[in-house]
Amino acid sequence: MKLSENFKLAFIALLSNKIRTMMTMLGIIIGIASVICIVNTGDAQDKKTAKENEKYGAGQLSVMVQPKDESASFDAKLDSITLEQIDQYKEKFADLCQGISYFQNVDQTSVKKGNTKIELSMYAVNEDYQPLSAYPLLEGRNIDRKDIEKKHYVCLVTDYFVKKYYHSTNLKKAIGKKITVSIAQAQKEFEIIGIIKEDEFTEKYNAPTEFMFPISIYDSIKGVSSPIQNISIKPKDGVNTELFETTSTAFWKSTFSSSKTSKIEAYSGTKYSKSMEKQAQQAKLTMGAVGAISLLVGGIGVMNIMMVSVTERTREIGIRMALGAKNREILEQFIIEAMAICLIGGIIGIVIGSIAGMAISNALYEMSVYPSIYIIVIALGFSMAVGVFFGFYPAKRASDLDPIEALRYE
Amino acid sequence: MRKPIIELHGIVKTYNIGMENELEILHGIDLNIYEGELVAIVGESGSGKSTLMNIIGALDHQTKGTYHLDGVDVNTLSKDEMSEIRNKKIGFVFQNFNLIPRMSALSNVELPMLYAGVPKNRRTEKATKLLEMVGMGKRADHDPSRLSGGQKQRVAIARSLVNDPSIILADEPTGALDKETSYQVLDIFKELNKEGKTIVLITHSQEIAMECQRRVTILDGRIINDTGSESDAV
Repeated sequence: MKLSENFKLAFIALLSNKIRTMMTMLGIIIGIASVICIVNTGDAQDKKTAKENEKYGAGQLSVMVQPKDESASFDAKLDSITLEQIDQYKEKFADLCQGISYFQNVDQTSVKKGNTKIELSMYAVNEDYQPLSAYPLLEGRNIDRKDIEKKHYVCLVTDYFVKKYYHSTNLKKAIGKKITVSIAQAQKEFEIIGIIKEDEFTEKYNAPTEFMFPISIYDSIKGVSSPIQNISIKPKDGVNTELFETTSTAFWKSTFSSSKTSKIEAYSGTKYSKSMEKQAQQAKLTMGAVGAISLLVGGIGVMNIMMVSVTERTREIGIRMALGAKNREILEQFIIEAMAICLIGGIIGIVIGSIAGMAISNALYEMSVYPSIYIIVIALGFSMAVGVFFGFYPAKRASDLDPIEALRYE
Repeated sequence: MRKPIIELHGIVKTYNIGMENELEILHGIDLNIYEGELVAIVGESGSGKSTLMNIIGALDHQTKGTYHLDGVDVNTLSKDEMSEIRNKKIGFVFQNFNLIPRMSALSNVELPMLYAGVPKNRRTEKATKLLEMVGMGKRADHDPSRLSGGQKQRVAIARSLVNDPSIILADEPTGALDKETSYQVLDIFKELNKEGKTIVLITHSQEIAMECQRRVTILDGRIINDTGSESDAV
C-alpha cells in the first residue's frame, strides 16, 4: 500500500476518536512547543544582544592613548593621534577599514522653544562618527570632510528633536533650518543638514538627545586643537575580525613606539561578545535538552495509547488480515498512525511554541524573531522519529497477532 | 468434468501437538468442491466445521493431508502468500458481519482492493457498483453503527466480491439475523450462485442447508454425509 494511502487511513483512524487523539498528542505538543519557545526566545535575545553590541561599538576596535608610565599623574600630557597618522592608516588599511571615528564630548546644553525645553547631548565629531555610530541617517546628509576643513556651521539633529522642537514629523522640512546653541559659553548658530534616528530609550525616559557638529568648530571656539586620544575603527563587512584587530593594533602600537610619554592600547568588543555568544548557546542547548526530555515523555504516552488502541482493535486487525492484509502492512499501518499523531502534535507544538516564544521575546526584549526553518525542520523530524520509535512496539504486537485468535476477540 | 476449485484430501488437524492436551479435531476430511456450486457444510458446534473453514479459508494450515485451492497447494505457501490468497481468491462473509467500525460502508467495501493495490478511482467505482448491486447504494456513506444487521451483511457480501474471488466463504452468514432478513441474504447468495459464483456456506441450521443444492454434513471431525455434487457422479 502506498505511503499516502497509509497516511490517509491513519488520519481517518485518528479522527474517529478525537478526544483520545488530542490527549495523546498533548505530550508531543508540550515537548515540541517548549523546545521551540525556548530556542525562539534565545534567538531573540541573541538578536537583541547583537543589536546592542553594534550600537555600543562592539565589532569596532577601540584605540586609546594611555600613559606609558602607569604611575604618571592624572593630567600628565600625552601625545595625540594626528590627522596625518589617521590618513596614513586609512590608506594602508583601505581594504579592511570602513572608517575611523572620534569625537569630543562637549558640555550638555539645552534649547528652549515656547514652553518646551530640550536637553542636548553635544558631540563634536569627525566625518566618520555618524556612519560608524548606532544613529542611522534618516534625511539630508552627514557632516563631511569639507565641512570640517572649512569649519561650516552645520549640524545633525535627531528625529526626536525635530518632533519636540518643531512639533513636526516632516523631517525634510527641517533640513536647512537654523538653530542656536550654547557651546563653551558662546552662542552659535548652526544649520541643520541631516536628521539621525534617535533610539527608543531616549524618548521613553526623556533623556538628552544627540546634537552633532564638526570637531574643527569646537577647536576654534576653544582656541586649541582637541587632542585625539581615543578613536574607534570599524572593519569592512565580511573582513576577518581577528586579522583586522591584530594588524590594526600592530600599526598603532608601532606608530607610537617612539613616543616618550604614551603608548597605545587597543580593545575590541569581539572577544567579549564571542564569550557572551557562547554562553547564550550553552544556555539554549541546556534548556533545549530539557524540552527534548519532555518530548521523550510524550513519546512514552504515545506508545501507551497505541498499545491500548491495538488491544481495542484486535478484532479489526483480525478482519484486515482475513481480508488479505500482510503482517508488514499491519505493522506499517500502526507505525504510520503513531507517526501521524506525532507529526500533527509536532506541527501544533511548533505553532504554539512560536507564538509563545515571540510573545515572551516581545515582553522581555521588546523584539522578536520568526522561528528559523532549520529549527522547524529538526522539530518535525524529531517528532516523526519519536512516532516511529515509540510506535514500533505496539505496531509489532499488532502485526504478530494470529488472525483466527484476533477474529475471536470480543 | 468441471475442475474442482477446492480439493481437500485426507485433512487432519491436531492442536497442541506433542503437549499434554494434544487434540485431533479433524480426522481425515476428503472433500472436492466444484466451480459454480452452492455448498452448505452443516454441523453442530464442536463438529469441527469452524476448523475446516479456517483451513479452507487459508487462515490456518492442516496438520496432515493436502489442500489445493484453484490448483495451488496452500500448505506450501508462506504467511504473506496466504494473505495474498485470502485477498484475491477468497471472499469472507462472517456471522457478525465484521465490518470496520467508524468507516463508511464504501470504505469497508474498498478495503480488500486497498490491500490488492488497486488505485483509488477504480476502487470507488467498483465498490459503488457492488453496493448498488446488493441494494445498499444509497447508504454508501453510512458507517456500520447506522446500519441494521441485514444491511451490514449485505455490505459484507459486497466486500467479499470486490476482488473477484474464486470462492465465497460464508461462516453462519444468517446466524445474527431474523428469519425474514436471513432469507433476503440467502436470496443474494442464490443470485450470485446463479451467475456462476462458487459459494461455501458453513452453518448449523438444517433449514438454511436445505436451501443449498449440495449439503455436506460433518460430525466429530468427519464427513458423515454428502448429498454429492453432480461432478462426483461420473
